[in-house]
Amino acid sequence: MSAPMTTRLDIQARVQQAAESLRVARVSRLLLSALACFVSVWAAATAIDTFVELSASVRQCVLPGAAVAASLMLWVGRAQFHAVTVERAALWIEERTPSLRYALVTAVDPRYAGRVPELDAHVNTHRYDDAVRSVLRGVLRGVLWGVVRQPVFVICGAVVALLLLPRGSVARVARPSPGDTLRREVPAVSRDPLATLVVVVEPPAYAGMPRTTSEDPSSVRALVGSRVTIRGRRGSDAVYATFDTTRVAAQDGDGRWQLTMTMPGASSVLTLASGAHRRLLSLEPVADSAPVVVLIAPARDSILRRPNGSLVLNAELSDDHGLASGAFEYIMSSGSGESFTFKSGTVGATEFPGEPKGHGTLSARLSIDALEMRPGDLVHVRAVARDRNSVSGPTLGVSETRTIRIARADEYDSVAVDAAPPPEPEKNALSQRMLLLMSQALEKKRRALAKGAFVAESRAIALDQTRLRKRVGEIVFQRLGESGGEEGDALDRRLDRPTNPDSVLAAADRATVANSGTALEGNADETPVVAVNRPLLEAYNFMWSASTELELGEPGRAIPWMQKALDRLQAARSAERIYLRGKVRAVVVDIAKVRLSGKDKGIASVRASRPAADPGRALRLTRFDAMVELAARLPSAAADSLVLLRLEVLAPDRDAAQKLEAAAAAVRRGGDVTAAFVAARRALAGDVERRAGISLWGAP
Amino acid sequence: MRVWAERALRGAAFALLAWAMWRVAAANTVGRAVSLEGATVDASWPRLLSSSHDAAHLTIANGLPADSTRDVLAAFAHAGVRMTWSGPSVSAVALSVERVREPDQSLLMRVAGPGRVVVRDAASMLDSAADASGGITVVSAGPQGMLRAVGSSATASVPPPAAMRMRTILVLGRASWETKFTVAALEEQGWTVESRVPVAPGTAVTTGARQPLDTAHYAAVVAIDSAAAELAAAIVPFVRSGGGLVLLADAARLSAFTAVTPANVGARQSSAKRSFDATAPLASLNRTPLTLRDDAVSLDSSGTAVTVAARRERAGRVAVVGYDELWRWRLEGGDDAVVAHRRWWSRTVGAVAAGAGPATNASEGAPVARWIDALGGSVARAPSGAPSVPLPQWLLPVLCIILLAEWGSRRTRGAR
Amino acid sequence: MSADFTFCTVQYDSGDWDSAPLVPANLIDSVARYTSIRVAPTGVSVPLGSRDIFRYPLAYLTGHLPVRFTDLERRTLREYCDRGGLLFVDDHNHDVDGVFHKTCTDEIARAVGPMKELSNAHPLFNSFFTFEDGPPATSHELNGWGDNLIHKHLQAVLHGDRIAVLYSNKDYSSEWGYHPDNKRFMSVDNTKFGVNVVVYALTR
Repeated sequence: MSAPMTTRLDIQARVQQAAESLRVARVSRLLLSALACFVSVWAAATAIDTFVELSASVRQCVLPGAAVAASLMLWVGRAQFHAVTVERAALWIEERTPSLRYALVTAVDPRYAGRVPELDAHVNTHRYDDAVRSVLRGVLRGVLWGVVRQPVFVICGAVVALLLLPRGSVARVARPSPGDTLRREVPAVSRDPLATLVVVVEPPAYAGMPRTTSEDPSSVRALVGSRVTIRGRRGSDAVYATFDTTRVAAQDGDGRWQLTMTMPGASSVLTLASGAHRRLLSLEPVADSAPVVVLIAPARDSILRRPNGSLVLNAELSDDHGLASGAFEYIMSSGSGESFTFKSGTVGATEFPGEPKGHGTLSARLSIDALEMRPGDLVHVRAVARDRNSVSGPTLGVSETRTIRIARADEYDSVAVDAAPPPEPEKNALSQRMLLLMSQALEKKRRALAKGAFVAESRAIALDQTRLRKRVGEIVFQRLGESGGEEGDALDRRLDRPTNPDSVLAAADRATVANSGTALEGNADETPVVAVNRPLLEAYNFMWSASTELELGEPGRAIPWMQKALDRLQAARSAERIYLRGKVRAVVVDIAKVRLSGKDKGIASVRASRPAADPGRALRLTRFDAMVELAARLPSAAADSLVLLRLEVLAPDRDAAQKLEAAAAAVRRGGDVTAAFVAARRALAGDVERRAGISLWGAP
Repeated sequence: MRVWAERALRGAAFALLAWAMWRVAAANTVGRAVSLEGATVDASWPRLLSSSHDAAHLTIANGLPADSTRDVLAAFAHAGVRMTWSGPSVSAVALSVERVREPDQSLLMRVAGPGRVVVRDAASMLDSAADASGGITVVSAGPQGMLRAVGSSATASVPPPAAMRMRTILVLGRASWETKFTVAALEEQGWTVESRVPVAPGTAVTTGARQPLDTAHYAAVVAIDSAAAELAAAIVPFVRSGGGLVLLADAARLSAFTAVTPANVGARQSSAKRSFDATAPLASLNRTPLTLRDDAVSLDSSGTAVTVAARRERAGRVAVVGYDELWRWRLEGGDDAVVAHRRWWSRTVGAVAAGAGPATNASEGAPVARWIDALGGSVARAPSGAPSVPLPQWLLPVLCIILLAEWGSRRTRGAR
Repeated sequence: MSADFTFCTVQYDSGDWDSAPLVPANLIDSVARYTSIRVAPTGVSVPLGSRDIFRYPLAYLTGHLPVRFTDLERRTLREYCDRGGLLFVDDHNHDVDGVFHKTCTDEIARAVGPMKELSNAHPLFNSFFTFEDGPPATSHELNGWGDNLIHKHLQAVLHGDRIAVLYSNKDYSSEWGYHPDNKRFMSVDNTKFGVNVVVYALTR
């Protein structure tokens, strides 16, 4: 029986198979190496964390870092994924079987396919197939194991290490999270149950805020009513907490102790004790802010001519933790003198159910008809909002109050009361201010502009100034009743010249409320008619002077007149406001006449001294110096004292409180505390005052 | 003859040389000099003590040596060693510390020195000045441990002085906002205040039990207005015995205080500002112009106008204030007005209050002055090695002339 | 002779601040009648929202109508009290169920702080005249007007032991609301407690 003929193609297929096997081996090695890199970084970090506590931020970087390293390794070795060519595979086999004498390489070379009969004969004669097969069988087996052996060992070693290391440490690296300090195992001999604390704060449900965890804090800041959970490692002695006068034992479990309390409404100190160990924790409540309510409409106080119609009410609400409800409140006041009646109520009540909303709006209409208001009556309106605070009760926020008054029929006899908004003089003031600004701007451009253009612009402003003057004149003369018989051109002629305020006002005063009006503050000889209208008349005259100068193309000379006109318009607004709010009748007491004429005599009395504004400052410095001494001997006691001092200065001096907190943290951390202590002491002592020179007088 | 003259000249030259040699030899038999370096001077004592040096020169590089070194060198000088020293110009730093006469008893440090000076306490730097040659004043409530002023080549150090016992302030004024808020400012700043405020004839509101008006009980009297007239006769002797007195313009007009007031007060003037300007509170107040007496100094001024003046009246001190209605500062001023008003009043009262402790000066006293007192002024240059032997300056020219004359005479007569 | 004390009535935007126009003159008269305090012969009216209020460290506020301070008025009042001012508030309605009382106490609580009952042993009641039983009753109380109560105590916001806001439901505004010339017809001067308030403000 003759041996089967081995064709060249068979040989090529065998070598191709070898090439595939080689590729698998290379890829396997690369993948296993990357895995080994990942696991060994994890194991190394866990081992380090077991002996030296790594910070949460470092631990959070470990697994991502390991993954990045493994990925980098894959990227660098990405060429290993490429297929191995038949030639390279043949060469690889030839290296391990020198007896082939490069015939295999030649046999698989496509350039010689069928061209060299001797080679085919040689292949058949020497049964290359068997040779290749045996080489592949033996060599590949050894190669595969040799290639993957190293990473497999590394992976096994790292896994074993991870299994042997404390579970807490493995989890701390695998799933780092705030407050996982307690997962780390420490030797039993060094277990101070108060050495490491984890504080978890759960804000009240109405706030909708997330739970927060902090490690080893000196103070806990949380919303009033928050659930505060304090955890630590269990030691040989039980842990107790003293708060106010209450002493509570901590609950033990799973090698930890735990204590839960509710954040109080006032700053206080929680004392933790275990055997000879003591630790203080300052509790700093954060108060829930009241809702902020802005009344959009009505925009200002108003006077209505007739008691009918309705008021449009709009308000915007906002709150830090969510609104619960809102409404408009009104109080209607009727009457005069000593006899008043009141009616109050709410409109537009709105609830804000569902998810907490920080913002909201209120809208409603208040019917004046329904209130049955009469002339002289007032209604005060404001918007109110309540938040969702379910701990200390809803906090109330209120808006500004608007006063709406129904005008009396007789009040138009003395002084015109314009229905707001806005009163006419205010418009005039704004316009006058605008004209003034335009004139000032034009004066600045005097050099840049051609004379003709400059004068043209000046005259344009003069035109506006004249219009405004006439508008003021209309208001004044209508109020004074002088326009009664003047219509159209007559009034224009009246308004087309400056006027003598005194003569006009005297006439108006005589004609209206002569001798019956009361004097205004600071102008004892003036009746309200005069006091209210004099500034407008003076403004009118100043405007006339200003417009004349502007007509001449001299805005620079017009500016002082315009400023005076603006001042008088402002004064008119003040006078009007004072008058409308009423006036205390000025009674002048004859002091000299009544001086010490009373029959009764007073008694001598003793006044108690005021306390110093900050009596504790020197004392606090002394205490701080004692803490500096203490820090060297008993760091934990010094840190506790710093916490107490911090709580004391929290209200009067927040900056010093922050510095003291940093000092307490530095003491707990250990190491050099000099910088923190110096900063804290400087903050407690106050600023250093520097004066140039040396006073001639010795002490300051 | 010529030959004899030549022989005489030759003999004179030899004689001069012999005299010079004798002089040098004589100088060497008297003693030797040593050179010392400032940095290693303390290590040189054994060398100086064990040898027969009769002169020493010290070269200073960085600052004066310590007091102990100076004293040893002075002892050598007194023992007959001729001590000289040289070095770059030596500068001193002056530091004086005292307690501010106010309730918080802050430390007031006066510092002067050429160039940059750093003021430090035991913990850290308190302040620094790029040029303290004109002097600076630093006030701090909380320095710790030894206080030091560190200059470029010298350091002055002072321990903080002991705390003082603060005595009471007596405030006298009518029932007015000025009286009320003056008392309030002083009390809130920590002063113990007694006051007497008449509200009706024979009726007064008082604070504290009145003590005899002397410096054992009171540090100062604040006279707000004419209500002080009642006690004026006792106030003047109190001041002369060491007490303090602050007069507001109304009180300064009282004839009883004419002898002690630092300034004559004029008629009240309205402020140039129409309304109260919170950014310039004192400028917004009405004022009374003050005309200083010859022995008075100005403590505060606004432009050319003196607003607070002070003088010494025997053992005591008197200040007069030209501001009117200072309480308006507290009520109408800016955000810090309440605190600023308190501090102003406390500082003004502290400027005259009795009972100040003595200032503590730098422990070295005046180091440069004491150095020069002990060792004299510096010499121009450092001598090298042995001290120079004082040979007369004429010796060399005379010798040359003699030898030249003898040689010329021989040559002109043909001899060799 | 310049005045050491000027009586100040507070103007506020929401109500009838000028409901007791004769009270200032009456108290000025009493201060001059019993004390040597240099008092100005007339009072002044100053808006609560203006900086001018700080020129008058004692201020008087009254009215019948609702008191709703603006934000500016609230801020000014807080600052005024913090700096040492004293606000004397009297309920002209004499009614604890009235709107003045309800709204004003609410506003004071928001601006300065909650009020509490003032002890009848407080120095205010001995600052010049002695009122052993606390604040003197008014004829409005005795006649059963308003809330039909005789209020035994005043209320106050205290800063330390100093009064920052003094609040009365006793309707002194009506009790003292007559021309000072008419005082001669009265057997007992009912304004003496007002002197105590002024002396307290000026000396404490």
